[in-house]
Amino acid sequence: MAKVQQDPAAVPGLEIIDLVVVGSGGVGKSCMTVRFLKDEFTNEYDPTIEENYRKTITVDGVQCQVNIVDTAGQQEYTMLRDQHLQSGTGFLLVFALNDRGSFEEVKELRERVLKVKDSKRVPMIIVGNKCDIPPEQREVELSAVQTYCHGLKVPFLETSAKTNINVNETFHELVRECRKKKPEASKEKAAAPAKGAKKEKKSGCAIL
Amino acid sequence: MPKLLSKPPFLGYTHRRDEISFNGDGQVLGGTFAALVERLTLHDTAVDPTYRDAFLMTFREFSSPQKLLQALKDRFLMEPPKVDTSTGQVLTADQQRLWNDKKLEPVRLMVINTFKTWLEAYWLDADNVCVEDMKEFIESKVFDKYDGVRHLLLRFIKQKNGHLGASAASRILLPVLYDTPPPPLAPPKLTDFGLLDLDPLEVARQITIIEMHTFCAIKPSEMLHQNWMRVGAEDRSMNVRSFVQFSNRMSQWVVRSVLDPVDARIRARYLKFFIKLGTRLLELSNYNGVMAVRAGLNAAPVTRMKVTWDLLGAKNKSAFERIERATDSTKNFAEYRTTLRSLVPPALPFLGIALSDLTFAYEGNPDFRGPKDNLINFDKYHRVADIINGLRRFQRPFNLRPVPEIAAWIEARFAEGAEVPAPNFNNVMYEVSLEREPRSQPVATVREAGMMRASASFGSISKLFDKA
Repeated sequence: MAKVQQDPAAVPGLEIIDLVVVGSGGVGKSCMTVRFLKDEFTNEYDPTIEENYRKTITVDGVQCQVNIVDTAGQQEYTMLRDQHLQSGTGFLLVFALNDRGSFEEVKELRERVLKVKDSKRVPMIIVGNKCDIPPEQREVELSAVQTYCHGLKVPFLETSAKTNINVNETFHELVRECRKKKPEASKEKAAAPAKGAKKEKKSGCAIL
Repeated sequence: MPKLLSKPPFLGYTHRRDEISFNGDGQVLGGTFAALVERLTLHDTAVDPTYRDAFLMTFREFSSPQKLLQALKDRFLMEPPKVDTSTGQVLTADQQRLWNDKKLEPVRLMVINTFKTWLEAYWLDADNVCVEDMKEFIESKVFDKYDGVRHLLLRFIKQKNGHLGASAASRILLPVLYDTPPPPLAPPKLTDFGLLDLDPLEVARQITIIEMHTFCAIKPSEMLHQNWMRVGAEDRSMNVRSFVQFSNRMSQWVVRSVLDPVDARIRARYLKFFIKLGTRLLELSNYNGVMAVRAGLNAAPVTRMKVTWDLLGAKNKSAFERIERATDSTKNFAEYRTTLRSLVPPALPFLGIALSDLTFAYEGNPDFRGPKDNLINFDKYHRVADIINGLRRFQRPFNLRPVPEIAAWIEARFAEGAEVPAPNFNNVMYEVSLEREPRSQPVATVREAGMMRASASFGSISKLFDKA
């Protein structure tokens, strides 16, 4: 089978970052992925094509292509998890603010990621989704999450995939984390003007 | 596209033009429910079978059996327009007759056809709520003219009523004319054997037979509405669940088998066996099986055992790379998807990708569309049906002969430790893995340490699960 090894659409020299989105079912992670990847102006989304899982974005003035692996729908294939995690450089660990169990799951997932990547420091971001819910429905205490994330030096963001709060910010922040991990590769890029380093706060959602 | 201008208005469509929309290929993108049902029963154009099948498979997502039956009855019983809107005159007797011949009659035949296809191929248990209503309608006077087909439809209905428990709409397996299946490669003694006594090809075949049996039982309804992930999935998506569970058990079996021996050389023999098994599954085009074996070999407890992996030759390593490439997730499984498209059954696709595709088809496409957001986004359901049909195409058996002794042996191995949930399983196995090959220690020490501890505490993995 003669296969074209090179991606015809690839821009030479463009930084490519593989991100994996994980979290238990019902936390809205696929919604998050779609929100990030989908062109707002199209009605149709074809999940079977390659183009719908990558996006070129500019973070801190430097362009990169982000490839997303999201295995939403495959939760029941529990034994495939390690393999899915292997394919990523950076990890987006999603839980829902109205589901305490899903936060516990995120802690488990973090452990798994470290085991699979066989490393103590892996670029990741923890995301508390559904920040649009009324306060009385919140099950996960913000301080608990912040203490946990702070202790591990993992960035944390509250998001709402539904109302599009902090979705892009999350992916941008994760790209920054990935770049931190390999400073030698992005040294010259770091010298580039750090445009938009200050993020605007769109809502009342907490940012650590 | 319909040519409306050449016809008098009373022979045109019932729905307005803004009630339905098409893409460049004439495929329905969206429509009101009435317009979608009219599309199903057009008087002047043959119905597109792809559209009809997608509609009957998915209509419960945006409507209900009762509403569909009502809409079809309305079509069947429609009245001629009072006036010819182009002239403002009352319809003449000739025009009435023309309307009868050119519109009413063809529509009625299409309605009958829709009943037939619905009952024959797409009927679900849930549709039984309207079965009495449908029966009454078919037995009524208006149906007298269609007495021949009436009996056929009533026979179908009787079958539905007789099998309230058993769901229809599962794939009817057509008899396949095959050559004689290849002779099985059984070990000399079928009473006492271990995994390494078996030919990986025969293990691959027996696994494939078992998997295909469950795969063929999967009904479209199990994959609709993300049923397999919802509460009650054990009942509603029974076959999807047991199919996936079989995969998990297979992966766990791979991990357990590789980790069990304390001697790294024996572990390496198991690794080699499973790489061969993966290769044979790939040659059989059993991608679900390949994925399960690969998942086992890629589980963190297995991948970290560098000592064991280093005992493999270049040939085995490149064989494993071949397996990884065929099922590579990069570029949204581009390689696998390309292969699958041109694949001729018998083959077993990897169900997980279809389940993800369905999830994103639901998540990425809104329910409604159009400038007023009042049209059912049929494009969404078309995509859903496409994904499901992509799987159904492979619901036909392999030309392989079961060897009951081997099949039973495999199922028994899979069942060992099945009570351990996966996250725990991986954690428990990780501990075993650390025992087998402690972090960064020279090879010799690893082996000694492994054997010592094994005799002390980790005599066998099965004991370990008793504690878990």
